[in-house]
Amino acid sequence: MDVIDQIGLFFATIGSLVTSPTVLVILFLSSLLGIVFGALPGLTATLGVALLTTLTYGLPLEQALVALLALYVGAVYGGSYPAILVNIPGTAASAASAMEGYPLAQRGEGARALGLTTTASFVGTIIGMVFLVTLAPQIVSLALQFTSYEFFLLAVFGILISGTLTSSDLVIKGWIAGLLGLALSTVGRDHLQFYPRFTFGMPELDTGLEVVPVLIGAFAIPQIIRVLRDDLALGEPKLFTRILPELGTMLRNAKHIVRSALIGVGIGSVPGIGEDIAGWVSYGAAKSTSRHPETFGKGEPAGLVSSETANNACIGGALIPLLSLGIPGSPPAVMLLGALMIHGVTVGPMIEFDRPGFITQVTAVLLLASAAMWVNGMLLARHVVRVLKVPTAIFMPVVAVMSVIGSYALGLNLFNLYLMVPIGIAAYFLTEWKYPISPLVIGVILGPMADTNLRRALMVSEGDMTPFVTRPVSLILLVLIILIIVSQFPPARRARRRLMARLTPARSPSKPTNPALDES
Amino acid sequence: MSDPSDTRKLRQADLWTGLGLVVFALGMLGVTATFPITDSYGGVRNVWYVSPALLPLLIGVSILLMAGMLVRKAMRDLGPEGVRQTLRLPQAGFGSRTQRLLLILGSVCAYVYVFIPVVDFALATALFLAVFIFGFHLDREASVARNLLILIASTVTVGVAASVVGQEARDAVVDALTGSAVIAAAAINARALARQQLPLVAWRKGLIVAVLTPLLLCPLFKYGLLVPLPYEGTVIGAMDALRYAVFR
Amino acid sequence: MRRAPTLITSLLSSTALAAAMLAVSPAAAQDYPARDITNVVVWSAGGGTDVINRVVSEQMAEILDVNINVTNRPGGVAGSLGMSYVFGQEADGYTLVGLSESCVTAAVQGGWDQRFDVWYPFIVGGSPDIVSVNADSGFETLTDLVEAADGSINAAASGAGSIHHLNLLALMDGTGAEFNFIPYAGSAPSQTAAMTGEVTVVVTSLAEQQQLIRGGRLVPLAMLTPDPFELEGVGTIPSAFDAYPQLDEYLPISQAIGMAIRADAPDDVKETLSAAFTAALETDEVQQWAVENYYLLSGLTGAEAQEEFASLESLFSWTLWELEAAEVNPEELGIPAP
Repeated sequence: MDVIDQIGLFFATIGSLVTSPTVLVILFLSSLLGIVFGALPGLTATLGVALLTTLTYGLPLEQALVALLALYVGAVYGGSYPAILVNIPGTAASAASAMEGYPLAQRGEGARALGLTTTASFVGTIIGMVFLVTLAPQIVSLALQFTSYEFFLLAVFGILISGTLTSSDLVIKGWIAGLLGLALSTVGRDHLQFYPRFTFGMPELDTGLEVVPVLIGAFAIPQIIRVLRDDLALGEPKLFTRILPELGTMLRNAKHIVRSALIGVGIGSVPGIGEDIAGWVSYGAAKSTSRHPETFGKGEPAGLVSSETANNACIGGALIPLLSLGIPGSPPAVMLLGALMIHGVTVGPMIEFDRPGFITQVTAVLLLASAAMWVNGMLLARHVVRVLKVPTAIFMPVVAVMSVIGSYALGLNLFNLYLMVPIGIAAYFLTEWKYPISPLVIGVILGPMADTNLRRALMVSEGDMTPFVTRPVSLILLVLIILIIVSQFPPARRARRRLMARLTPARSPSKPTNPALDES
Repeated sequence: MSDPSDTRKLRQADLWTGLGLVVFALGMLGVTATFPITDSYGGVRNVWYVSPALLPLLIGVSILLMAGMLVRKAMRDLGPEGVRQTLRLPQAGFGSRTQRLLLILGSVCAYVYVFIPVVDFALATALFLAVFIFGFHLDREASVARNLLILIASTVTVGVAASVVGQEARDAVVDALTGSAVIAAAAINARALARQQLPLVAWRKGLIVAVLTPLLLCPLFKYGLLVPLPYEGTVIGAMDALRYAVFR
Repeated sequence: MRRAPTLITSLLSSTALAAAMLAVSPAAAQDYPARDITNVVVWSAGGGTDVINRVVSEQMAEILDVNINVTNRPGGVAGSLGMSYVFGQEADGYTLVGLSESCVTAAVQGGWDQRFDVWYPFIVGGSPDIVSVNADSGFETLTDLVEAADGSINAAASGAGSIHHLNLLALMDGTGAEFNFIPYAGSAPSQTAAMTGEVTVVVTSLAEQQQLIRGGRLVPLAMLTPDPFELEGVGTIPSAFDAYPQLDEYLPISQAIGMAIRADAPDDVKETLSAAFTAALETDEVQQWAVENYYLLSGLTGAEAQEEFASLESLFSWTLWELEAAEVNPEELGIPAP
């Protein structure tokens, strides 16, 4: 099929979908359900897709696709609601959004933050979609550059960067939090030899710690405790805040948006990691290229827009290896793969042969899904902000109940609850001592990837370390990792400051935002 | 973070956590040492680099190193006198802040470890919400302590009942006790408010939320999301009966 | 002020009483199935076992005229968490367990202490295993590969003791080839590794590989079943048995994906479910689904299905024991050696 046909089919698909009232109802309801699933702690995109798979079994493939993708897009976006409003990220993907969104909400600009997020997510999804249609083959060949060596380094990179970015005290504390997350991830049978590690004879620990209870325990419990213990008020919304697309702010941040979308697509296309890392990496990139990095962490719209654009751009990126190789990039993508299989669609290199135009159809559906998300978001945000008017002493206990049932819902496993509480209490004390929590969660998510890929890489090379430096992608990652580590030590920081001072003589050398490892 | 006294407190905490982390890392390395390092396991030829001990070793050593740096930095910033001061055991106060913390942690722990496994989820949730909301939403200072007592009393009662009563009667007894605890909590708090001549608005709101939340959440999860609840006793059983009576 | 609590108290207690009365009133005795059935799949959502259970449950639900709610309860060892949960429910046929052949290892791996004969299984079937190589590896036939296999060639399959690993082991035993086994966390990553060239050989099922084979990213060498397979657009994939007839001592080891109820369920429940299951497999939807997805339907129920699982249990358990990856000696569990 040539390009003209593709474009024709694209608009024909959109046309046929939007003129059917049934499809429109399915579209908006699924999108709304997705936002709810993303917003409630513990209800994940994975669970939502699983639920809709059952419900859409009887529908024709096209309508089922509308439902599933609308939910997926909505859920990735919806995670930003609790992250911004109450500082409890609904999904790991929105943890980076809490960094800027929560301070904004505390200033009373919660509605504005939600509006920005909505538009950024929409733009991100659209850019991801454009890549899906235009550059899929190239991106696939890039994704195939990733073997065990690269996966190991990528995991280390993800943990390091979130550790570096989230520390409000010493950077080393962020790294320690990441290492603690890694340590937790080694609990359970290892994935190569099934040797039980740190299980202490408990069969419940055999499969290791699940991410959802760790996520909820680590984010929700400390925040519930903090708010109620100190009788804090959540950011009361200023009255009459209108929610606008804020095209001006978006245009001003155009470079952040484009860069974040590229990062999102790139990271999404690498199987195994996804939205959670994309948010952090693009947030970090925005901070380090910003002309005023000191405003980050205090409600900087650029940071919020960056992380939200990236995590939604990931969807298009994740669909690339899913549709063209049959490799799911993230847990919800695994479920999506299963849902497609139920409808008799096996994705892979032959998809265009088996079902001509399928990818174009998916793209069209993705466009509709993000449009529905945007409309829903713009209508919802104004009302959602009102939850902040509920007294915290009533609101937070209900959040606690939601967290408990959310931790239970995915695995239907009481042990997850038993796990969530001690992790939450430990996380509370860690945050009290100014250890950031996100790196810990990222460590738990990426730990198994780091573990198996390191050992497998060495297994394949029979103990030889040289592929780490001879493989191009691996070398780039290695250099980045070393740069991040070295840049936190005083001599490097001084050198950088001198360099910056020389490059920008007009401006006074900016003070470091992190006291880091200063020896002085 | 610019406040020097804050930074000093942090460094003091760092000294403690640093030492804690050293212990943690040593423990982790100790357990790791028992992992197979050379012999074949699970059909995979085992060499040091394939061993399941590889990553835990790396993590343990890294934590040890970083904890060491943390302690060194803390000691340097605090000075020898500061270190000595810090290492003297801190006195735990039983102020109102500690009480609040205890109520939060206590109610979450009781909910998860005692009530959820044996008590009907709707009832357990209602009690948790009642104690939690009344504790923080009413007359503040006094209500925290009062609801802490209610929490302890009901937890002990239900916990003992769950382990003493036989299998057949357990559901009914435990659920009845939890239900009465909700009613008792509502009554005790209302009495206390009335005695202080305080309005009952907040109390009424709290009670409504405590009772309505589980009544809405349980059917939503069970029938809407097809998520069976952790323990389904009398109330959820009644919901089931109602649902089959209506839809069949 | 004093009146408020008493009012509420009486209101609450009367509601509680009403609720309790509703709960104890026994449901009228009706023929099975009188209410919704739950199918608890022991693997996570979106996997092969999950998908098959959802497809077949949907058809069975229509036949039985009740809902069958498919939920997932993954975790534990080889699905032990979900199995223990279903085993703890009443043996009334209202809770099914969705499982696969790997679940037979739960006992020897220390996940729980029951033999597989506590289940009354229904086997949907599975997809045959196939051995393929990286497209640039230069190998064109199984004989080429076996002759070059001196232990230096890397072969991918999902983790130790998985069905694909057992097929790989059987291939090695039956042909004398030696591979360096590299385990992956499932079939998709194993196949990706063979595509990127990280490993040369991969053993997974035809269903999982067909797209990659037809897309030219993997080269199929042989089916690990006695029969060749005609793959659209690729041609005939020969059986490994043609070149190595002695393989029939070790192969085929087929997937057995399906569902089960407790073996001590009443006979009429078993009959009703068996009939619904058999009818469901014969529906056009399931038949067509199986063809589109390269699954071979089995349809075994009851004693025959138990026999199939018993032989898988013995094979898997003893292989794991020999690989020193089992925690419990299969002998202690009374599992006969294959």
